[in-house]
Amino acid sequence: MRSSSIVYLSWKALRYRPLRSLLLIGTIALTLYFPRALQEFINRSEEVLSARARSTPLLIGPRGSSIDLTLNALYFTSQELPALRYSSYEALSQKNYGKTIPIYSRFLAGQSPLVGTSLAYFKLRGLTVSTGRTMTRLGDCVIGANLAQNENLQPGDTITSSPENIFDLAGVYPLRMRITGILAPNRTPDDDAIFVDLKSAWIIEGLAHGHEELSRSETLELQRDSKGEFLRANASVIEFNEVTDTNVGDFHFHGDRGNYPLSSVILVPHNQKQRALALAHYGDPVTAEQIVIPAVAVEQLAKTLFATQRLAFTAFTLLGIAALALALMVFLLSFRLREREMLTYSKIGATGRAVACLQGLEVLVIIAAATILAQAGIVLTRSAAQDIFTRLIS
Amino acid sequence: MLASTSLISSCENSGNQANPDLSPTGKPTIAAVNYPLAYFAERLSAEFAEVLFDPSPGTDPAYWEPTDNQVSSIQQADLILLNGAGYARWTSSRTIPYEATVITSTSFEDAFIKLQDGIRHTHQRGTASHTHEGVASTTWLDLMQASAQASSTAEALIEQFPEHSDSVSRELESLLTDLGDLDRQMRTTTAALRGADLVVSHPVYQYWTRAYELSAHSLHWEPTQELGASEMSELAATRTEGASARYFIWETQPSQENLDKIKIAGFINIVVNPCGGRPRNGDFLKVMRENISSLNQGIPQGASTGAVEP
Amino acid sequence: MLIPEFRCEAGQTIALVGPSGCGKSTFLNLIAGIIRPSTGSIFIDETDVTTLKRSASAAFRLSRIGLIFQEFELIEHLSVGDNILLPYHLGTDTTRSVIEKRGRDLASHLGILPYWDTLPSALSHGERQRAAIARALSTRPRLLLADEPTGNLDPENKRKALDLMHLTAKEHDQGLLVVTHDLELIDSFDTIIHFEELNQSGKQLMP
Repeated sequence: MRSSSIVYLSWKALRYRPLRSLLLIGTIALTLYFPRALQEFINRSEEVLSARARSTPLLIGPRGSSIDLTLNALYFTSQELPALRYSSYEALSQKNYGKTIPIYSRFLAGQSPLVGTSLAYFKLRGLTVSTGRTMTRLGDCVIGANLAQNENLQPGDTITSSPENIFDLAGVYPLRMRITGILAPNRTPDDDAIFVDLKSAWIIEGLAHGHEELSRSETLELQRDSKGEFLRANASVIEFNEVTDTNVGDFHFHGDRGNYPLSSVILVPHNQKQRALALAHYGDPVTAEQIVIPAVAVEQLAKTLFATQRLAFTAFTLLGIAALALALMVFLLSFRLREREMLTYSKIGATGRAVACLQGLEVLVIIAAATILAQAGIVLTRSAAQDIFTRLIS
Repeated sequence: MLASTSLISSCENSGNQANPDLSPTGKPTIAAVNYPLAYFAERLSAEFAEVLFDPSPGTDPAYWEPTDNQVSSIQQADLILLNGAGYARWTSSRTIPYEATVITSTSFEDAFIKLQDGIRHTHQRGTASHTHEGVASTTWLDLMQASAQASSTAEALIEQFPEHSDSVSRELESLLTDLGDLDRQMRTTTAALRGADLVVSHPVYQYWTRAYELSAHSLHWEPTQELGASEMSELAATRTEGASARYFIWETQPSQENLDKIKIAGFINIVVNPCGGRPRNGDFLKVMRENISSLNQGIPQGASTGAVEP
Repeated sequence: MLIPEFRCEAGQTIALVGPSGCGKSTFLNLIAGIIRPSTGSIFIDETDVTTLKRSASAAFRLSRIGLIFQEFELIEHLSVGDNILLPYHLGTDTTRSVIEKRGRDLASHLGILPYWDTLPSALSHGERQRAAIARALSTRPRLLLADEPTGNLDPENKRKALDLMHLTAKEHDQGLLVVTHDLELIDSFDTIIHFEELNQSGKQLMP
């Protein structure tokens, strides 16, 4: 029997029952896909987690869960730990272990995390501004590529921070921020974040504000308190919730800056020795801060996460076996239904081998199509895993 | 003019440059917030770096507000020299890379002079009252403090560019010698002012008067403002009985009319330029020498009342 | 079943008659080599088909024997044309163009050419029967074995189909062995054999 004829006849048979063929292809494809896709997803997620953790050499933050600290600094998850004092950051900087990058990831604008940091963060993460430029003053922000695309935002547009509590009576106004630049995508949580100067985050915190010159007598009232007589700025003193060219000079900070809050500090040690010194210094339980090696914290997290997922993997494998058995049954039933057809081939003069080839090729085509489909799905999963994982964790 | 003007335009697209930290000449850039620091940096790093100091002559860098483009240029600098002591308020409202900044006055921050001219106020009923207190910021007019700031600048340069440590150390030695000489001359010259009525047109001489053991009454006058009756009575109120002499210190050369009015009021006009901004002519040393010369010219021969330091 | 001797000469047309279940179809399958006799020989031309291996027997059947089945046995997912071309697809020596030309001529003669690209399910019983006849004749077999080939045809098509079989048998010197119980048609055959007389076992294969 000619091989071209085998292909032709098999193709005709498959096309005659498209639903059966597609069902078989789909069932087998899914059976092949799920366990492998899960494996791929886990592997890729682990890579993504590790890569971001590895590019964050050391993390200094308040004592508490090292995983919470790491996730907040790396994935801008909600801040679960108490704040780190700015004086800790200054002390760390003075020790000169390496480059220090402050992170204050507490606020949101809509659903997007708002990250107060320094320009060095962009260098650390290899982030470049694709449109516009980095922030230059208080109230400026640079936003991630996804956020810009999803919300159709451009440099020059504004974005407003969300109040943490709508009944916030402390008078902390949301800050309307000027978008100065859009970051090039780097397929990390940075793509969905809003970056501001640390000082801008403090404005949102209510630690800095702008007001008109207070020497204007009509805005002042004489009042007394325990410290004596003082002038109270009355309601005609404008509290700014937006930094503009004209009021930028009026913004000022109150209180001891050493008490200002941070979430954590990324430390990029100058060298191995400085790294060891930093680890030794903060490793001492007496210090108020803890030092975390994000790669180690992430490894712990991965172990926990992936132990749970191993269960899912087992479930998928069992499901897969069941589905394969089902597919086998569908094949056998289909052969049974076509027994008469095969007999006709035999009677007309097809050899047993030719009949076997005809049936075998059909099975082969279905398995091949299912494999290709599953493989395509796996490739897609692999490429999308990073984004999916990033979204899931953030 | 500085190379910084060309930097501003070239740095707008700095994101696309191969190495954004390098100036168009390929040299690293050092930004400074005032002219004394820019001068120190120029002296110390002339061989290998370019200094970025944008405020044009005639502008007071303490109140300078940079444009976004200028901030962008400063962000690209390898080193940003801050004066500290609250000088240049723009630095707290603009985004500059924390890790590239060096506060040059840290070594003597305990000696900062606190100012008490803020108004205590509150913003909302029930919230804590506060004043915008500050510290005097013209630190370099105490030339020993200027030396400390120069040393601080040199340290930062050596840390950032260790390959140039020899030349920086060499230049620092020469700069410290110059500043030391100036300090001695200033000390010698100002000795004659001790015990005299000293009125300064602006509150920028706090460190100068402290360093050279002077006592001054500070006004808020501009060299070009018209001095009317109220100003003259304000000046008259500063007079103390039995003063050996009366001097009025201007920041820059005032109008002839103002010079005359001050002279009629019994004060000797002297210009002591704090040199916060880039001078139109000469450099920091020349301006300081001119200040000493101006003092020497203003102080009558034999007017010395205080002990002259060796 | 016990057949002492049976001969069909080239070009001879034989009608095999007998009641249902007497073993006529089994006899055709024996001749075709689809099933094997327990003893004895079946020669087609010079070849004893009982000695052929299964694959050789299939190849022999494909090139030398045309089969028309009682239930047509058309492949449901192949068009009429592809069904007629099936011997080519299954590996007969004749080229596709020759088989296709013959097939189209036969289909035209049998009035089913318009259905060349149509699936059998869309055809009437008679049209399917004619397609099965065209398939069997397309290889010009040495021996044409037909099991009730006209059972589903109207009188006109019955006559037409039978005439065609007779014509090709004479024209190409083919043996034609037709199992039928349509007594109206058997006149046209050279020989009429009562299967019960041929079968010496005295047993009916099926009740």
